[in-house]
Amino acid sequence: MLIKLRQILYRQQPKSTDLMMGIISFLFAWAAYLTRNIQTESPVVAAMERIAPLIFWIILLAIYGVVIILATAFNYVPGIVLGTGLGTFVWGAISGILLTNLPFQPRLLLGVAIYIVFFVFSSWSFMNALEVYRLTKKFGKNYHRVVEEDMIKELIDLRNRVAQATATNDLREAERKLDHHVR
Amino acid sequence: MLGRLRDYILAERPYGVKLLMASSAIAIAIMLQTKGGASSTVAYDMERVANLNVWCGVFVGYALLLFYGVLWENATARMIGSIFGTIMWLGLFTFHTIVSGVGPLRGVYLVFGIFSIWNILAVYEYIRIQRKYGIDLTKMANDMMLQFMRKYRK
Repeated sequence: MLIKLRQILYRQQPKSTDLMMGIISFLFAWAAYLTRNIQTESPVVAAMERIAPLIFWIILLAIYGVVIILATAFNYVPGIVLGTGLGTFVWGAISGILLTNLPFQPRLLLGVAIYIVFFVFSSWSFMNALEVYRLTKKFGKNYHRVVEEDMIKELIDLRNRVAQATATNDLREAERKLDHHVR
Repeated sequence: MLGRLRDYILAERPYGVKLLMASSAIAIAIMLQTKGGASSTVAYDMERVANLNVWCGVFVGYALLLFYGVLWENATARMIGSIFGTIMWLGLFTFHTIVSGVGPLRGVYLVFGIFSIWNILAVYEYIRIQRKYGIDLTKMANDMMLQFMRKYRK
């Protein structure tokens, strides 16, 4: 069970999920900035402002979004580590502040659900990013990328063996498509 | 460059995006029930079309389908979930934009919709290669990842 859990935890490649989280966080920051003057009576905003001004949280979320989008786009592992770490801190802080400072009403507390989801996925991404960073420093290679390349080699080899065994027009068409796919 | 881009687009990676979207759908369903904060506007708009409980059922059903597809590694469930998700997220984006105008929170639905389309393409490729060559790409990737981890993570 624990082995399966560990497999699941370290299977995620730091890329698409981080990109999605970065875009969504940036959108959240933008929405909060646009409505900052309207939401002055919101208990959520009041809870956040007990710790720091709302603009501080908006800027932090926006920075996280931009850092992670750029880092994943350019596959810059230290940037992904920094971005996911910042995201974990920001979403964790927001979730924690809201859970501990909001009035004890289920209606309000359950509204924190989405922030907790983002915190969980940020931490997962952060753990994976740290692992990739550690192995990249140790072996000079991104192990997710190495596994992908091995997988493509296996596919090419299998395709060649299948083509040799049963050379038909269909397989030649499939070979051509697979050739293009792996180039 | 385009070949590499296609590699990237069509490789179904386990499984962060699908889990994130499923978890977010459940969180949205919870927030709709509470009608707290920003979700109150969303809830009000959605109630024009159907009762909020119906919407919550839709979100939870979608989430369960994706969770099942990911955790039990069922490609059919992932494909159905991705198609359903694309329609749902892009439909919500269009609906909210028409009713309440353009806004960044609508963009969240659009982002989910775009990533759902990506999922459809990736799962389709996975199913295609499995049917053509009998290869389970995800299992192959996982096995290779584990071999690499056992070899190097000492």
